[in-house]
Amino acid sequence: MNLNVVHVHLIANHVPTVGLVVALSLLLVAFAKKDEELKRITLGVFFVIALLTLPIYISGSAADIAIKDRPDISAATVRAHKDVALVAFALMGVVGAASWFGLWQARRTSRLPHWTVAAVLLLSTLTLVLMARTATLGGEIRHPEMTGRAFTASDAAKADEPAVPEAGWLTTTALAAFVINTSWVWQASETVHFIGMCLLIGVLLAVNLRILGRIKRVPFPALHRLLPLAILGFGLNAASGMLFFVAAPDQYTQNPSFFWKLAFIFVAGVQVFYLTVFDKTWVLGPGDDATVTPKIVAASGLFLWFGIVFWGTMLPFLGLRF
Amino acid sequence: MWIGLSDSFFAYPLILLVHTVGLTLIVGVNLVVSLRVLGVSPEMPLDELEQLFPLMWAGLFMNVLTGVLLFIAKATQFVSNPAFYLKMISIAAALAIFFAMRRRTPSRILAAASIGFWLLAIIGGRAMAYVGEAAQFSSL
Repeated sequence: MNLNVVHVHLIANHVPTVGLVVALSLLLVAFAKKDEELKRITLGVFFVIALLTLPIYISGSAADIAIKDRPDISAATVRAHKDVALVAFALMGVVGAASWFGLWQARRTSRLPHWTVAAVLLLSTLTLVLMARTATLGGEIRHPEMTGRAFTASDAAKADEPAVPEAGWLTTTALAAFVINTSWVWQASETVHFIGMCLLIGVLLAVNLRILGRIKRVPFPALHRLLPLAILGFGLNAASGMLFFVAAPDQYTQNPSFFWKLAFIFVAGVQVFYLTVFDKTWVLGPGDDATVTPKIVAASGLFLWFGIVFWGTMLPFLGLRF
Repeated sequence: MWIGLSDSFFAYPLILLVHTVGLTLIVGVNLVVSLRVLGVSPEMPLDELEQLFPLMWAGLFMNVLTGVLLFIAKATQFVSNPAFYLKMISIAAALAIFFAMRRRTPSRILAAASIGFWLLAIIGGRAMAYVGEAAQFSSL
């Protein structure tokens, strides 16, 4: 069996849609039963779906590059799918951040603020609508019978006749053109990427080192308070990073450093989730020693984040030269 | 120079990597301490955070070392690059503020200035690849 990136995308793409349906149902059940515990679990599920949506979006761009120039595929349909996918993916990121924030608040105040859950409910419903649209348009790429008529090679030629892609706003093409043609955007995004990195690593360095016993007199909840700044740093880097990716996807999709960077980001995201919600670190008062498990988790966190810096720096050098 | 040309394939990426990790250590530790002085999470004992300073010094050591190597490789392009001076002046100012903050009770103004100068240093450092002759230096 020859499993390529197209197959990976075709399998993985079900996670955000099916996942959102499951998570939204859980949230509604939690509301109906007034079950606070279930609400928290659901927010955790939203967070993990958001983390997974990043590599799934990337796999879509990789698949796009892999099937480019095939006469039996409509480039216009692919483009429409990509444009909705980009917005759905961005909104999923917002849902993930809002869910994380709710869990962070719940950890600090031992109750989940209503407005955060309401925001997650609203945003995730909107995201589901966009994801469903993305899925439908994605399905039409290989199932033209869904549109009621067969797609032929001559249709492909016709559909692609206007060689200039439609402008519009918030389309992948328009965004890529903006990043490439506006002289300062790429440079400014790089600078933002470095600043976000310092914020993210600075906070997580302090938090993880505390667990490892370095600044032991600091109670863990005091460091926990800084975590939103780490998430802010991550958000800055996700946004600036996606500008690079959308502008030049072929620099990344076949790049082993990028693959490892994404894999590390996913596991590091789960690690931050652990720091946010679990008891074993939260209970650490001034001078308290952490047990073995949190120490292993903290050491892995440091390894992962510096690993992400490593893969990021190696992007233009390992495997592929820009 | 052996760094600029790629007869040693890993020299340039490795120097860049060390420079980037050093950057996260210096600016990361400074951000956490400055934010604490600015009033974010006042439950953190400030004197305890001093235990993070060795990491900052390690980062500074790494970056001075790799910075000098990068400078030697393209000295003429660096000295004619305005962004290089922005970076150096910002780092000098940020370090001066750091020592000033340690000497007396750290003030919020100094903490804010510290964050500002470190961010300027990053902006200057990035701009070096795009301003002046050094624009051809970076393969990024």
